[in-house]
Amino acid sequence: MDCEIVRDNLSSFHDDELPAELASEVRQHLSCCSDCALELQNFDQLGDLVSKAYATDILAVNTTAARYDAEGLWRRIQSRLDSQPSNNSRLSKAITASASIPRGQFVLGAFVAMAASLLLVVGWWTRPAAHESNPLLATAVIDFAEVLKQFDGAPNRAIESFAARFPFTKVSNDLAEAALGFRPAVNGELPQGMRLASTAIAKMPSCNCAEGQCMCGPGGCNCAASVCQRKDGSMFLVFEHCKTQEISFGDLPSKFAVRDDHELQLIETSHQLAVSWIADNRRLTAVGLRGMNEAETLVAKISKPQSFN
Amino acid sequence: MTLSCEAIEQAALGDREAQRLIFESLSDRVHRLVLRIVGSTDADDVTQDVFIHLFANLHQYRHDAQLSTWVYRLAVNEALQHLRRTRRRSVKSLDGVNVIARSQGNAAEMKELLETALGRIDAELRIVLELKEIEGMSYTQIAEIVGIPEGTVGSRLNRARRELRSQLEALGWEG
Repeated sequence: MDCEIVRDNLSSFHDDELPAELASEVRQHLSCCSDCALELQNFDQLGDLVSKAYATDILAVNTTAARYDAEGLWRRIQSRLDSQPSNNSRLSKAITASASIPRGQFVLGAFVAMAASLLLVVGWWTRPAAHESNPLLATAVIDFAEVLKQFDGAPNRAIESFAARFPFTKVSNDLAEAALGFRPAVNGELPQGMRLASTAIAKMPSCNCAEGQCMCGPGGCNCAASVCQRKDGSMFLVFEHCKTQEISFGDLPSKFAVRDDHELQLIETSHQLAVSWIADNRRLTAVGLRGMNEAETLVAKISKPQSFN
Repeated sequence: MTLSCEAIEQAALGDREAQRLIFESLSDRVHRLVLRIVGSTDADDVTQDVFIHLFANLHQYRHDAQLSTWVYRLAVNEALQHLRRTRRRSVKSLDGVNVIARSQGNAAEMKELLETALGRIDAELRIVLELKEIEGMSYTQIAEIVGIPEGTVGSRLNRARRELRSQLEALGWEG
């Protein structure tokens, strides 16, 4: 077992979360690798430091003197609950509000050039992904599963699938940059043998960035949807938006890897690989890649920090 | 204190006594978790928000996971959203000030150093580290609360631990 694999599993080993066989292999490696053994020691040391520093906090919760004013907090909660409308009327208002959001329209093969002011269309968003079964906890989460599944058939269908939910408009690079407030990552240097074919702007439902952190404005998140082309004419897609707009891949199984400090979420279907990662304060998702090599090359090339205008 | 399904259902219908039962059962840990993320100034307000949202939507709870896990996840989401809205770090930052831990025996200084270093780590990394090292949760629990696959918890902890050490060393900690 090499150092890279051991390092990837070191916390799991430290926290006793590895399956026995894998733990045994890691242990064997640690017995003859001083670098990895030292890193494990560092983890131990940090753990001791943190638990000693906060042990009194945890114990203090149980003493009357150290407790925060729980009684006062409950009174304030009760007061707010008493002043609110009933659950049922609030729920029915929420349902009415979401049903009134219009579904987008997409005109196949006929992107309309934008005027100076960008068209903002409220999209229709999916239910949260399967593992997030509680709507209470999820802000609008965009499900990319259908885009991936459609891409296996034909890339154009993937674009249509996305555009049917978030009508978007093909724009020039300059207009994209002006509208988004940043230059889309694929507008810069792409890996050799790849080129940017087209960019469109879509409006996703929710941006939770702090004020001044992006140019999305209230009530939506600007997304750049780019079509990139390889020398052989084949295509792949790159989506880019604020990292606070959450996405999911439905029930599609995913794996995780770390490359150059980027945490990559990898989803493999029968004909392609999709990868999603955060670069700076944006999330990028590439659909239709040919494998891990291509994914790593793309991530390394287009993950450079961008600044807002 | 164990919460019965009946108590939860009553609370969902607006029964104040049942809601109070839930509050008393969970508020200490929720407050402590929120305090770790947003700091003492805003912890009470955010904790209030957590319970207000909980009771407003408790009718959607489907008993498919422990209520506590559900609530902790709500607390993490609320706290992170609060951080994003206010753009404030959860702990006082001593950026630009050299903080040297004078001795291992000076516990208060060590804690301040740790707080500063933790405050410099990305909030999403810090949360998994605190849920593991302070709250003692398993990877399964952390994954459910934070809303990430279980396989990601280990890699986030790797990054959090390395980043914490790096920040401590930058602040003059000598290990």
